[in-house]
Amino acid sequence: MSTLLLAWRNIFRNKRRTFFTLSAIMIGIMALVLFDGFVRYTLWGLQESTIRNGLGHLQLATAEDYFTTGNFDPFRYLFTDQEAIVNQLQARPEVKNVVPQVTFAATLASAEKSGIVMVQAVPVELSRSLFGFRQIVAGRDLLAEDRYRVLLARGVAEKIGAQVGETMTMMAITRNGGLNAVDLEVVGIVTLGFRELDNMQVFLDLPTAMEFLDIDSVPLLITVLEKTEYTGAVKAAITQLFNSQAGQPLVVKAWDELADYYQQVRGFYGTLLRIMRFIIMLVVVFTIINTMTMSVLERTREIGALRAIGTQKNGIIRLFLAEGLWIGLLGGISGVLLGLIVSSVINHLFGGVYIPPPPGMAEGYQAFFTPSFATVGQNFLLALGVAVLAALYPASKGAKLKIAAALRYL
Amino acid sequence: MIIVSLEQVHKGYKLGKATVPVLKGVNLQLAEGEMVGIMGPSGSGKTTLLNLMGGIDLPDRGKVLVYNRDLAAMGDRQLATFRSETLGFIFQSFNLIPVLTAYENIEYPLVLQGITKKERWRRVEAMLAAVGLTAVKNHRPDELSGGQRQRVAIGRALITRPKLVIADEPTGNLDHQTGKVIMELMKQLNERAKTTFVLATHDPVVASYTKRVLYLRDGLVVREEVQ
Ligand SMILES: Nc1ncnc2c1ncn2[C@@H]1O[C@H](COP(=O)(O)OP(=O)(O)OP(=O)(O)O)[C@@H](O)[C@H]1O
Ligand SMILES: [Mg+2]
Repeated sequence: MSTLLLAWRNIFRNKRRTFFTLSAIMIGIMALVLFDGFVRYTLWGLQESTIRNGLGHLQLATAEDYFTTGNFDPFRYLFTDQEAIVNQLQARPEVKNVVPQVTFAATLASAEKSGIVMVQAVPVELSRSLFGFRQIVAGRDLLAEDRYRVLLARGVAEKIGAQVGETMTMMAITRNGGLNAVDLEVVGIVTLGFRELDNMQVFLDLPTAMEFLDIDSVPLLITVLEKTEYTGAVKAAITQLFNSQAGQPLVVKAWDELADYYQQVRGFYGTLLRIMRFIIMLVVVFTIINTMTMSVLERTREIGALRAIGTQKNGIIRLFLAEGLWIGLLGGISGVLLGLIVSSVINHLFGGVYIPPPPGMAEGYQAFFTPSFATVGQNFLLALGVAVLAALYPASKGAKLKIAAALRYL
Repeated sequence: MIIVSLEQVHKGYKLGKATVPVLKGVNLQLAEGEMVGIMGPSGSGKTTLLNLMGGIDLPDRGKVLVYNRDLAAMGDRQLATFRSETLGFIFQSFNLIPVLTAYENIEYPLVLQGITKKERWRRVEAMLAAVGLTAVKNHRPDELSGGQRQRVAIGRALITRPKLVIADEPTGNLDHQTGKVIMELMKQLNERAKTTFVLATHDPVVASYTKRVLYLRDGLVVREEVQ
């Protein structure tokens, strides 16, 4: 007759009460599993859309401050041996594409209005892999043979009142410091899903941009990998590779170092999750303390008898902790199972749930619940630990009972 | 040989600010192998007296010596070990563990002593036979009659072969006939194993099974009858 077995039987003495306690834990853990699944899916979606909205997985430049101020003066950062670096990167199996890019601030003017825009220029044939989330809302995409033609993001088009087929004038500082201007035909209007990007991005083919700016290499090489998981390893490998070579100094940044919005959202959800977890654990703690204090009270005489026949105080504490352990275990397991079942029902039967546009996003999306094994395990262990911890208070109350008085208790 | 000795034992309970005295200087001695009855009106302090002998309560003044050990000088852990190894308790309301079967209730004190499963099995089966419960050994207390429950309690009290068994109105919740059977059983065990018994009772019939009866009144042992 081990303590665990005795505890197991004791928790089923008052089935109704145990059922309610378990339900509270179960629902709490289920909520955590679901919320974690939702956050993971959402962050994953945000991660992929960030990467495929022009960030790529890894960015290479010739200096650290290119990443902060480079767009206003790209000429200081041009690669001197672009060809060799591209070849070295492309030699790695994890690398899908290496996209040379130049980004620069320009003024775009229609007949009536003008505005400051950020021009993104990449080879048209590589733009699919870098701008996978870009959607055409009017007109068409750029074609490989297009020169002096642009795509405008939706917000830009609205701002300057541009239509597909119109001609715009673009003005910007070129390499020699002079102002250059050129006429461009709008072939399409796109959306990127992020309002911030939609309000300033303009897309051009790289040869046109290089001719316009009078440069023959770019300041930025964007690497798109086969899979996002490879990011860390490839970053480490190429950083080491380029550090060991003579030539221009190189700085490698991973996408998450550059994605401020993603980091903010991630931090926000992380905090939300911690708060939620704290509240749920608080509920679990009080539920268990409440149930088990009642149980200690009801079993006062029994505790007195156990002590009278030689059970140590520790034995009483162990018994109630074991009861807490079982409650945590049962509540935790059923909560996790319920969470996984509800997740998969929502994912498979209902095709996810529609989430309206979050702050900063242009559109809502269909969310799925993809809880991770690790956090599910964490939540489960948390329930277990918290249950045992909560049982400590009633357990010590039970152990502190005066035996003679406990035996008198009716 | 004297195994229990109370010297000038005082015990009272706080009632608000005042202390109500219950025992006012009790002196008594129990010899090994004795079966002693304690009688007295309700509230006279029988239970209090037994609790002091069993180390589950401590005197306000005076000495309680059991096997020459001063119980007041022992710590909580030591007292629990002492109770587990030396004493057996039988209560009026049985106080069995409701989630354990008859077998498991009797086995419990042996588990506390860390005795192996095989040895436990041997001893519990023998005890079940001795108290006549083999047929219902897998029943839980709520599936047993009052008499059967008190047999389980007796089995539990005696399974560790205690030197002293303390029984507080062991027949108080039983009908007359069943009470007699239980007393018969305790008397047999007392005679066979030379276990010392001290039992509190209201019932003269129960007292008649003992060799010596102490009468408690107004906080003192006022009379002693030896048969
Ligand atoms: N823990 C306690 N707190 C307060 N009063 C107590 C306590 N224990 C006992 N008493 C009081 O001490 C007195 C003696 O009680 P005790 O239980 O020892 O009597 P008793 O002889 O066993 O009575 P009964 O025959 O009814 O069992 C009673 O008046 C009782 O109310
Ligand atoms: Mg009493």
